[in-house]
Amino acid sequence: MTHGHLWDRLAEAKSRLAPVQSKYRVLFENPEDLDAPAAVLVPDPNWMAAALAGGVLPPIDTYQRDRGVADGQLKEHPYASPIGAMTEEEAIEYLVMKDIPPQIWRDYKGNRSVLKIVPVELIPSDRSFRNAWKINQEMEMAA
Amino acid sequence: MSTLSVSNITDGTDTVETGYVVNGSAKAWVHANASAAPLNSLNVSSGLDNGVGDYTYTYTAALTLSYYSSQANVHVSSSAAYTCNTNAQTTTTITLGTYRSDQIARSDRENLFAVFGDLA
Repeated sequence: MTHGHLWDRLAEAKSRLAPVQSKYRVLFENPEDLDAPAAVLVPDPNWMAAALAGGVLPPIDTYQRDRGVADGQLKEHPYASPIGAMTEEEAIEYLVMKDIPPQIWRDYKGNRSVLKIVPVELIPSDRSFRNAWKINQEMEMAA
Repeated sequence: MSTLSVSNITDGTDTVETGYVVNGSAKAWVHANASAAPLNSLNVSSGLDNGVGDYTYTYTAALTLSYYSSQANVHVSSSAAYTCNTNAQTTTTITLGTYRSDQIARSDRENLFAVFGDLA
């Protein structure tokens, strides 16, 4: 296989690409534990650089199929051919599907908004009440 | 990037197989701020701020088994004592907890980890 292992591509990309700080954050709540504070997902800058450059990350559906593969068994995503460059918005959507449980972004059918993509400026810098953060149901979607 | 392809590495006296060096390197690591934003990393796709002193990081390339070695720590500039525990680890994620030294109260701190094990 000419594209090698995903980890090798990540290490090579890190040596070649400047990190990219995303202008987005992903807020989400667990619909099965609404007392828990909202979680904030931060894209990794090296990962984002690889996503924007292309030729490093595998197709998202390989990760989704690998969710059903038992530990210790051969997984698809490390050996899949890399995909091309994404826009930042496409990369965030990819990250939602990769790093957030499907019960939140795919299966939840309730009326409450349990996931929002927001500009980083909307995340409070004051963490005094961090464990009381909830998604503002009136907030406009950013993307 | 040039690739050096050798089977063994030697200092003139001792010789080891290259595989020992590659397999012994950290497979994922991060230094993140107190909001789970990675400042530098390898093989991490995102940081997750779950709440005060509660952070989860997701790998881009998974480990093969959840039984691997993880070392976690906090970065503090003061003399105050804090600790960082690995609270959970799977083949795709690691969850860290940062605490005051009493091990009871969580506290937001810069946090770091390195993972050693076999890739999937």
